[in-house]
Amino acid sequence: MDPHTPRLHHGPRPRHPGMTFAVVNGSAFGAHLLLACAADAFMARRVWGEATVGMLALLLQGSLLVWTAVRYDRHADERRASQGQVGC
Amino acid sequence: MSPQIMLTAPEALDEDTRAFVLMGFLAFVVPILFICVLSGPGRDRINEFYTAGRRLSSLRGALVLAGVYLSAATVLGTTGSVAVFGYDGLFIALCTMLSLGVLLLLALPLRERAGYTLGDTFALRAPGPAARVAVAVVTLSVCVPYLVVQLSGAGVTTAALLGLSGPGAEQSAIVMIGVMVVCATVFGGMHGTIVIQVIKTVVLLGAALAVTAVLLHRFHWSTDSLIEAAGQGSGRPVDYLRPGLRFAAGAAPESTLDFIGLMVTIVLGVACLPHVALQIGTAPDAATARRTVRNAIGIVGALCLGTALMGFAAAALVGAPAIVAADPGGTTALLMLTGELAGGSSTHAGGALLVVLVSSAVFLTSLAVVASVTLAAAGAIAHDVYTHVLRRGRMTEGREVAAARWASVGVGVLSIGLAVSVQGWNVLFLSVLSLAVAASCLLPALVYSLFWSGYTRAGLLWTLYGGLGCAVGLQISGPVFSGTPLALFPDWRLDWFPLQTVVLVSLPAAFLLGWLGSVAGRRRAPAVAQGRGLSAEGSRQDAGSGGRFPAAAGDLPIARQSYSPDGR
Repeated sequence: MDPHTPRLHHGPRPRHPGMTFAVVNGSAFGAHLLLACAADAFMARRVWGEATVGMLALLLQGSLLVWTAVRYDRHADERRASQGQVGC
Repeated sequence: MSPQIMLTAPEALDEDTRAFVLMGFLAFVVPILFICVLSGPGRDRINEFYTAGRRLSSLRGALVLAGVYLSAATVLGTTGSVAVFGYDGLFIALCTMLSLGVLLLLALPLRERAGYTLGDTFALRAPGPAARVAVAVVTLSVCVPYLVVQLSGAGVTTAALLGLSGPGAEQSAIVMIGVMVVCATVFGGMHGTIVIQVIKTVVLLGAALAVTAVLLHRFHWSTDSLIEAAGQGSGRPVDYLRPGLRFAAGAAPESTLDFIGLMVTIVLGVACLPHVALQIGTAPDAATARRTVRNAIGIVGALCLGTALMGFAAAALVGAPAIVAADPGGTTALLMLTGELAGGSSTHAGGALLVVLVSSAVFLTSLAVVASVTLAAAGAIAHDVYTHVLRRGRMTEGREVAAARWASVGVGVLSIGLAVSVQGWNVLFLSVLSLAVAASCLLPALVYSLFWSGYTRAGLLWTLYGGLGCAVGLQISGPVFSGTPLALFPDWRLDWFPLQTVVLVSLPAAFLLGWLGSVAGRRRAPAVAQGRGLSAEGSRQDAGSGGRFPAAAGDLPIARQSYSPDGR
């Protein structure tokens, strides 16, 4: 930890919202890709009507992206605002 | 099968209907082109020409960005992929959306360092002519193949729309569209591009909504029966929703790697296309740029959902064999579906209106994307190579705008010529190639120069040239180019590289080369680096204090302010 940078804001929010966004979406995408390649029978299994596990996973991944993007946008704004107060 | 194709393909509309469609189409497209040309900048300001004055609000910006993302190849190709390959097509639609997530991460630092071209962004890290030339070379090798694909796709679509077929009609359609777009770009600049992109996204959303409503009505608003019918129509009901149809022809490990490679190419490549980066520069500040991308995610997501439904309906109503017979890439699926939904060859007014709406949306889509890409390529030539390398920045503003206009003409003529001469070949791989080049040159270079303080000019050059050489070389050595019956040159034997998609090798190679180049360059000439303010200590301090501008000292003030107005 650099002693010269003051840490005034120890909020519960993550220090790097961009990193959280990248890690969450990247790992979800990696897992999704692995599942699609390795477990094709599982992805083709029907869960509800004609909808398969694979289609639900695609929808989930899309909604995850939208949700994390909105969160990232808000947190990045808050972070910039708090940095602005500290003095820039 | 062939009578069915004749019935559903748009060229089989009867005379009256075709005249109605054509009139509606012209009444729709011609005023839009006029608006586009008239909305050009009043004065020859370079800031106006390249970035429309950086005044775009986040909502309009999102419409524009969604328009940039949803190119003709994306909309038509994804619909066709869903229709033919089922689950794999759905995955492609998701990847298009995910690549906006990559752009969301890049948007903030990219806007903070935005100039007029990617060359300006990299020049903050590595000033000098060598880096600019490298960026221009990469930009052109991404843009020109992309333009060729979009233009030849537009030619086929328009010829089908006008009821003509054959290579002559397609080539004249390409020339017609190309000339229109070049005029729009030359006179309108970024202003014209923005107008046409906004209109195009709205029309495309409207068309997708209309088609989706009609097709869901056809299936009594039941997605279950739609999916079941799609499985039946695909000819492979058991495998339709099973992953792996896209590369089903290949052997086991290669097809899996190709699947992963294609998805990674789409996710990482689309976000790094030069015209996307140029579009980020039109936002007034970094926070607006980020919000723009966030809003665009919603729009693109909605359209991807619509694409999935339309692809299912195309498989159900037209049938995958008919789609593949009309075009192996499946790009005609959307138009065939529209013809089928409109009620076959002789249709009522509502059906003809649907055909007009979809045709205009497809036509505007090609037009808008070609305009955006032409602008980005022209910027690389006029701003990076001509102004900063050949003239060393000694230019007046008016002359630079004139150079940009001439460069647009040049790029337009070059790509029209190429698109006409390769007409009839299977050029779809060019679109994957340009995405692969973008993913394996521009992504590593952007990530390093935006987030790593130790990146040097040598590293940048190694990344750009190494990534370019690796991507193009491997593509030429792959099965798409030679050796297989479906390849471009079936008789040649250059195919020692087993994969169709190159990014799994070329992307790590470019990252490695960038790191090696930076480390080796610094070790070889530490004195020079210190003299230019690039010492390791300075970079570390910069990184520690949260500053993200460890570039050469002389560039710091430019980077912190918004870019200097004349780009010098």
